[in-house]
Amino acid sequence: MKRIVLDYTKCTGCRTCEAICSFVNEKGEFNPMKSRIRVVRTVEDQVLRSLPVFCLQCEEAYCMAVCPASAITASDAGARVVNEDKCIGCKLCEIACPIGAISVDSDKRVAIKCSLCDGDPNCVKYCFTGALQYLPAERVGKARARQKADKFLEILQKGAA
Amino acid sequence: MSRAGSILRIDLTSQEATRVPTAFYVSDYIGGAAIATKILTDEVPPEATALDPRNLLTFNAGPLTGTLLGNKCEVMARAPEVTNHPIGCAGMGGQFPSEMKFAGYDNIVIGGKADQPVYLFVHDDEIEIRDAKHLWGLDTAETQVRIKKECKDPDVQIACIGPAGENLNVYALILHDIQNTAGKRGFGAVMGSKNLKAIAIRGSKGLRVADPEGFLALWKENWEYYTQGHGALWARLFHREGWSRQIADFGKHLDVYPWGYFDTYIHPPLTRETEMGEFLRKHKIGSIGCAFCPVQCQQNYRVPGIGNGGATCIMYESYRFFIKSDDTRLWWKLSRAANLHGIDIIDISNITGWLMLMYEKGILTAADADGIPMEWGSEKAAMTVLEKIAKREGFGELFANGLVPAAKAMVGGKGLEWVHHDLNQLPSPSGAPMDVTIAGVGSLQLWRSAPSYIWTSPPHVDFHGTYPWMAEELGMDLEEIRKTLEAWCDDQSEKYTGHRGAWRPEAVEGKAALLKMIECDFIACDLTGHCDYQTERLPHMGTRGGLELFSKWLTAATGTKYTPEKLLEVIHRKRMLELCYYLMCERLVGEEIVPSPRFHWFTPRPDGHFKGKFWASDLEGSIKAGTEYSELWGVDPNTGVPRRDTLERLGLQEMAARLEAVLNRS
Repeated sequence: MKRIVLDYTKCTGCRTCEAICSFVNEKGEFNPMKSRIRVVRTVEDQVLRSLPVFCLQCEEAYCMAVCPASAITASDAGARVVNEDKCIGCKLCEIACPIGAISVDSDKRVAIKCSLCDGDPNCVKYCFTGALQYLPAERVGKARARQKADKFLEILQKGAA
Repeated sequence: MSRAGSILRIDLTSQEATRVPTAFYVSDYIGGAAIATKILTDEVPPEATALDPRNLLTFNAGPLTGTLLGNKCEVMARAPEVTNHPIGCAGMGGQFPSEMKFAGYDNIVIGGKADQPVYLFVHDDEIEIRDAKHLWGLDTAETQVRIKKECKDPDVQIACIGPAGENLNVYALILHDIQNTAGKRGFGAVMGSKNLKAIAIRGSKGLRVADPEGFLALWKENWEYYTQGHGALWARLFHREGWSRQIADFGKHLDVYPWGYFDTYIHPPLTRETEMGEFLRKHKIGSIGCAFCPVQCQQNYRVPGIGNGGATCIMYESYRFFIKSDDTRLWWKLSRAANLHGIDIIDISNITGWLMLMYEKGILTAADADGIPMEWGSEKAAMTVLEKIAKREGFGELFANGLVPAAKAMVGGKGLEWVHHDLNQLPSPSGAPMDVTIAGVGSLQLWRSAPSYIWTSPPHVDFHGTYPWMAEELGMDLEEIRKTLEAWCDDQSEKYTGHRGAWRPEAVEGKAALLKMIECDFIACDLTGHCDYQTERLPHMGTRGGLELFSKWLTAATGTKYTPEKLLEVIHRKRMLELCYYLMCERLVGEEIVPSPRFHWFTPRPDGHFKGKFWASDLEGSIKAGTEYSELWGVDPNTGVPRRDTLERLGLQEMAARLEAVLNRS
């Protein structure tokens, strides 16, 4: 099983992930409001802080647990996915989600959330800085450790030079 | 399809908002800047000044803006007179342009004048004109912070002016977010003249493209080019490393950038401390840029003791070279202050350099500058110039209408002959010396009405600014990379002009066609909303564009079949409207171009690439290229007036009649 991993230090806030997400999932519509991944951009004291917020596919998913219509189920790719035909638009999932990664579409009146694009997430595919990665779950910890170690070694080498 | 569908029109005098369907203009003008050209030439009387309430300030997104292939809007209005170019334009990127589209607007057209300071809050279909008295006087950063709080929405996108715009300085800019500006042309003053402090916008609507599959394929091709192809090298080295490599190389290899106010091209040797790359390594906290762009060309800096902000492009070379200071912290302090005051950095640093040169030559004394000695590299002098000009205090008042009028007014005009400005009388940027044949073309009438591309260097300039670091990166020696890049430029020239080598500064054959191609590529960006740094004019640096590509993008986005020929027709129509309008302004209000005596400023170093040769002496070649250039546009090369049949073929009979009436009258 794979999951989306974020290195927030690499995010430039370009929002390509938002655009491609809505374009693919809404069949040709560019609309950040309908993107399943949301880039939170904040400018504070002339410094941009940006953080893509996306569904972490909780092991114990509150959205799934509270859904009165049993419209959210687990997919083969490990995503919690919404069955739009079953969704009653009650918004309980919105309230339950701890990070704001599911919302009810104002036009379709059903919940929309990340489905991992059937195991090939477009947001990851087109994140040119590598801030978003799609990694096998068991390798996530090691990958993070390697990333930090590489940085540490680079600093050490610079110091030695 | 891919258009938002409406043009928002605001009259600040009557405080009324109306919406006009974009479709009304689409068949003849496609979108963006071309639509604005039609509106401005139709509605702003030629005799109106830039600061007249009858002037219209327009923000123009194109059909590609808000999609993955577009992220800019072109800001246009009747520009302050000093530019000698009646309809000015300045591109602005960031998040604002796509937010305009998501709010439902392709263009925003603002006329009239509020009776007191206001800002505009556009939230989808809701339009509010809000009081801005409490914001008047605030800098560009604080203004945005306050408005976001008042709108109770941190995602609202804001374009605003600083004190320079409020004080109607002709060099005032409009700034959005950290470092996106509509810099040239003095639109900050136009906005200030309308008592409009800011526009805040927020949208929740979507944009659909006609052919999602086709569009996605075209975008993927572009994305791959800029993230993995040759464009990636350009994006990383040239932009994300903040020009540091390029600037570091100037001192070693090039004779392109002056040191001081064009009085020498010999730079002091760089040290670790004075190298821009060191500043970048110490203070850069991230790359930032426009929505959906894989280049992200701006750098976000945190600089203890001075303050934070963003930098990009020409900002790196302006203060640093003009005031002869390689103190990178001082460069940052001044550049940041200019942005906060809302004044264009190229312009203000050019002015500062001129004052310092005049002081060195004894033409000006400290007494002429309110007691401040204008010594090279002086922080006190440079900061005083900036603040006084932005606030119109003391001698700064003289510069409110521009450097040329100020130079005429100071010490009996003795410093005028040293002023460097371009054909639009805008202070020259430090780099990008003009291709001299194009300079010759520029001195002909047709160029006068050209958009802001006068600063646009043909490939050779960036070429020489680029190849040393590209050689290093690609592991080639200098001669090898030079030959490789020259071959690219030759191929490009042949493709567009039929003449290999047309891009070279000394070339005459094919020059007119090359110039027209560069111009068309830029205008295509302006009317579609694609970034104009991603055009085919810089083939050696890995950018791509061209009318063929734009046609494909537009077809997939809008569902209307576009061809390069159709695009060229619309560009031609826009260009001729501007020229006719210019000619009417010239006749009615007597605006005329005064080429700078130092326009041909480029005197190469004897030991540099050009071996000291000064190409500008080829007047005959320039005139030949200029004549060809006029003919390519269907303009009489002797009078600079578009031929009647040219206008009629473009369906501009009405404009032809207006122009004829004015010409006959005068």
